[in-house]
Amino acid sequence: MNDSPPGRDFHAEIDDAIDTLFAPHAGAGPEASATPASDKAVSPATVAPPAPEKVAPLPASLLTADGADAFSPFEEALLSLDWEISPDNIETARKALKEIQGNFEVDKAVALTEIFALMDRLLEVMAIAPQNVSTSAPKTLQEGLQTLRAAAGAEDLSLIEQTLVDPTLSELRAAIPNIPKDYSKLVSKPQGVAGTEQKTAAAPPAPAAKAAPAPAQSASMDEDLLPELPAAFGASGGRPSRVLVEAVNAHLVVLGKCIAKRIIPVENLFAKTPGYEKLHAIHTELRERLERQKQNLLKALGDDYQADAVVPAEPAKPAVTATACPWPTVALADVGGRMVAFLPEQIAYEDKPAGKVRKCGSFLPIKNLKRGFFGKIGFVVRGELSFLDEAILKTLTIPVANLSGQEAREPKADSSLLVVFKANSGMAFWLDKPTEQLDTSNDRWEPLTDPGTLVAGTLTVQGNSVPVITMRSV
Amino acid sequence: MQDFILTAEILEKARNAIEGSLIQAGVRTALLIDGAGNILSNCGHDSDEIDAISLAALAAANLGATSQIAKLIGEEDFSLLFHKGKNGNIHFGRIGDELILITIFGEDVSLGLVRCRVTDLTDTLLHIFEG
Amino acid sequence: MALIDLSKKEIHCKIVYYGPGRCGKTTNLLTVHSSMADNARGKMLTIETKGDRTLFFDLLPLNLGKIRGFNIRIQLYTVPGQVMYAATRKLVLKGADGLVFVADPLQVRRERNIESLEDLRTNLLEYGLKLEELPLVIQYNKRDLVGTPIPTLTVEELDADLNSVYKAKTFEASAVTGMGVFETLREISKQTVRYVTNKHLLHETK
Repeated sequence: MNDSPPGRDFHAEIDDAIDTLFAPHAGAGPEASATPASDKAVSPATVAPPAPEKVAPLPASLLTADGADAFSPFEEALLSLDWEISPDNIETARKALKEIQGNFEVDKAVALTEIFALMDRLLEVMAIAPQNVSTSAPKTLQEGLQTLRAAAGAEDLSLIEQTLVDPTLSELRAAIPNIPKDYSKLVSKPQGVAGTEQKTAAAPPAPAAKAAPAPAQSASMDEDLLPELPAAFGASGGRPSRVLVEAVNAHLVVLGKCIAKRIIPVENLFAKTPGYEKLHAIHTELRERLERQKQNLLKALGDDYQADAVVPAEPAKPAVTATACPWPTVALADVGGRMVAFLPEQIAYEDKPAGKVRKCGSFLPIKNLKRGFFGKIGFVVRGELSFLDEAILKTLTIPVANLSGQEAREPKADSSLLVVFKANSGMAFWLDKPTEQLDTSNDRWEPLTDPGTLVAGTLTVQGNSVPVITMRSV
Repeated sequence: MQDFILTAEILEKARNAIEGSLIQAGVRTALLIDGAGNILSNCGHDSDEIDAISLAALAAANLGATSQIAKLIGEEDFSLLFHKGKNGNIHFGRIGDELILITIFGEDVSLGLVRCRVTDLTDTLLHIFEG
Repeated sequence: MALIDLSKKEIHCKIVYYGPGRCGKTTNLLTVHSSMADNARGKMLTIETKGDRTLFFDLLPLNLGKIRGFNIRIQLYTVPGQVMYAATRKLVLKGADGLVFVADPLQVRRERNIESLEDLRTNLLEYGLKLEELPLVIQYNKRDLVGTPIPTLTVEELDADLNSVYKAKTFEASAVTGMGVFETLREISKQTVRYVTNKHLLHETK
């Protein structure tokens, strides 16, 4: 601790300051007053007062109203989310929300569509980009839940529309960050195939998102696009864009035609046919829902409505399909020595399952896929299948494909199992090796329109003709 | 143990990172301290009202104590250290081996999302301090 | 680990009062706190526990004022003396820039003093610090007991036990009456600030 020449004065000054300050029983040292100590105590009284509770008061009668039980799983899921944003927690919340929606009376469910859709979207965004979501998002979802609860008990929704529904809607909209959906991809796919895989891939690499691509895939397009419309109108601050108005007008024309020419005749036919009462009721409900949607759009358009809107010509299908495959990527696999391709968004399961699954023969009970005694089937499957109830999944059995036509035999010990599923139909395939992603942009595509087969068309991959297998709704 | 020499530039970068991520998201106060209880950065709305020196010393000790508790039950360290109050909550996160990020936030802010942001911020801050 | 904040021109020094249980470390800090003007001292932080032992630590921040544009702050810490709080004691030592070893002059505590000093040396070594290289002051506390029937150690005995190796400055003190408390603090503050600034600042203050 020797003084080096440049430090001497500095140290002398420090010593002086210390001597003055630490004189026994010293008063206020003059040097010490140069800067007042900033570490003064804070009296508890200066702490900010608690923010007033903002949650809308809920009459006690509503808490026990119909459907109250249906809310608690979602409430629990929100609590978990409040603690930890994880793919599992988000998934649970989304499922619980769907459950609530399913338990609502049809009329109310329709009227509250936007709340459900925005809440689901908010959850989805939390999975994709948690760093962009407002930190009060779980609180906003809580408020959404309170509104739904109130709506469930309300005699007349219009009574709470202004006090609860509208404020909730605007809070939900505000909480959802503007993460643009890639609409261009949708446009480039005339067959309306959802670009779910691409959507996931394009999402920012959030820790939650990479662990679980599933949440991003869930929203089917028709549910997904509807809630975006009001948000889009609102976002531009005032006048909606010209393009949007034209598109909505065109949509209204098509909607009107579909109702008048397709749905009503069938509805009338069912009405007259004994034994078809249930189908008739379903069709009636479908028509009513579509008509309500039409009314909503008319209301939203206001003065912009044009009854004679020009419907743009359908994209020329053959021109597109003759050259390019409608799916930008397919999953290439070997099944029984043959190269085939699957649609990535239809793959519900791909893994090497436990031994007992290999003995399943020609039919595979989905419940055999679950891991461990207490595992859930919903956890091991993805895509559409993962949105089915555990109870339904337990009962599902799907056929195992036998492409070779020979006697069914036990698959090899190392072969992996692939399950494809779409719209209530599925099939299992034993693969010789795991699937590989294939970019189809450079391969020749020939569509096959025979609805009696699972083959949507063939791709020519390095000189080999590869059938593309797709599940269609039955 | 290394001495920290903080340049204005490093501190400014760290402060900007914290402000941009946590304070903008509605967190009341964020304190970046070292394991000895020194305050490196103090950001937020009511940062002047808090006895930051005591808070930093206690937080450093708290983390030291809990990591000893962790070892007693056979854990390396706890990944979540959080105290919940009526109106205010506090979250502690380790930034590398030397630094601690203390986050104080109200009832309206979700812990889950604070954790997400702190995780993101950890990488950024490590990058800043390790050059 | 001194913290030198060049952006705010602040130097923080950490001085730790070390010593066996009940030797009077916290009393030293309390005396300093009660005798100093408000603008130079911060809030004394003690963690209330049952009994008069320090379980965690005590902290007293002090402000030396501005010197050559540098705001010099000193933080005084105590460690829990009791043997069983080894982990906390080691934790508080983390980043210490200067040390005060408070010795208990009671005959019966003779071994405790020696053990505690050895404990200090090993704990510092685990942080890669050598006691002989750090600023150190030894305080022989409780001198008010000399002359009472309670058997105490002489200064010579204490020197032989504790200061034969380190040759540190020693002060006789009585923390309860305030005697020697500020002399100890003055000396360790000078040594510590000098040590910290010599290490980091000389080229800045030319």
